[in-house]
Amino acid sequence: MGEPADDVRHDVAVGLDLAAVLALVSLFSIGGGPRMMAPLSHELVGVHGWMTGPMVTQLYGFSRFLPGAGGLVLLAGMIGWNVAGSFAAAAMPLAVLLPAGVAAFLLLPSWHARVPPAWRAGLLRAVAPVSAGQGVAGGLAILQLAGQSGRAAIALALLAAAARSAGMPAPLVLAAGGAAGVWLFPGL
Amino acid sequence: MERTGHRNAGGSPAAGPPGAAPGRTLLPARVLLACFLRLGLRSLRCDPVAAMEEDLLVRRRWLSEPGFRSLRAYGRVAPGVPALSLAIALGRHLGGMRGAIAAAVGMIAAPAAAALTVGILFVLGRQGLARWMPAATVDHVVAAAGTGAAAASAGIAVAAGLGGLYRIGPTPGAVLTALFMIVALLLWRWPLVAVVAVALPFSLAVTRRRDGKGGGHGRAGG
Repeated sequence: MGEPADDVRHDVAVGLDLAAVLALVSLFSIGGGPRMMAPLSHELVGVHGWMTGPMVTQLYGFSRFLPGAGGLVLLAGMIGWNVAGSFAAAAMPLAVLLPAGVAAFLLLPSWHARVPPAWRAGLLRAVAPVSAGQGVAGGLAILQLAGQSGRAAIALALLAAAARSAGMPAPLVLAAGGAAGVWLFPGL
Repeated sequence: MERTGHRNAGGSPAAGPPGAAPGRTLLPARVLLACFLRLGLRSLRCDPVAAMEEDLLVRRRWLSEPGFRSLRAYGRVAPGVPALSLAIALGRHLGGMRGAIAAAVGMIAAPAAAALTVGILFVLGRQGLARWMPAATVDHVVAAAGTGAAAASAGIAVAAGLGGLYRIGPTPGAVLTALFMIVALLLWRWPLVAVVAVALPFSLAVTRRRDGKGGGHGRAGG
């Protein structure tokens, strides 16, 4: 390191590794969003050590203010920015969307030709517990990453789940969670 | 409704969803782009799949109901974000490869612009706060707020996962599959590909066995 060219080469190499991780996770996470977080956080924190657990938690928290694909783009961009700089911030949203999009395009004829209509309802029922398990694992992974703030984070998560179940809009629950976080996690 | 072109959307008679007329013409990519740009914008404030159904099926009548149901079911099992996979499938069905690209670009443009705006506002807001209080305090406030929002989102995700399991009917096979996913991903730390490679065939086998015995509910049906 030390030379600017070496830094750029390092960032590009790390960016390519990160792109491969994001592409693979997005390809095999059924439903996207929080379902990606258990394997993604494990890769980012445990396997590669690119980010700390609390950092992943915070970026994930801010990304959730945008629904659906927007939140995913924001999360991938912010992870890219933190891990490998501005080039990665622009490239990582593509890494997370493009391979899955190409796969969705290529697999469509097989869906029509090889999956008889009678099997489709069964396939959906088979995929649902896999997706549900990924969602629960994703949520628990985020709470795991909160580290020392774990107990307060679990209490906040329970309150948020209750508020959402009672019909409170998701953005409002997240905003309330963020405001409560400032009060609950002063030591961060 | 504007339709031009002479190619078959799927490339083969078997490649279309139910209700697709053989030899039907394709919509121009620019029409699909304009349509999905509007749908992408709507996705920021409402359920994108419901918006696509309302716009393409009910209002424009570009597809038959069985055709839309088939593609919607595909969007749920295809890789990636369901709404984007559905947009790609709809784009391919209505406009071939160019249609799929137009639909994907249109569907993602507004959310991507929103993500860029939020990202810029995040950086500017942080800089603005730093004028009023010490930078270390700003970092603490931002970290705490992000952690709070993440905890809230985690609670919603866990509740949604458990709710999804309840909706499909918490059979022993479904519960075992979901439990395996949680344990393998969180405790055993298996790679995601391996976890899905074990869980999905198991869940398929259990579901087919149950359906064979006449126990299928079809509550998750497309």
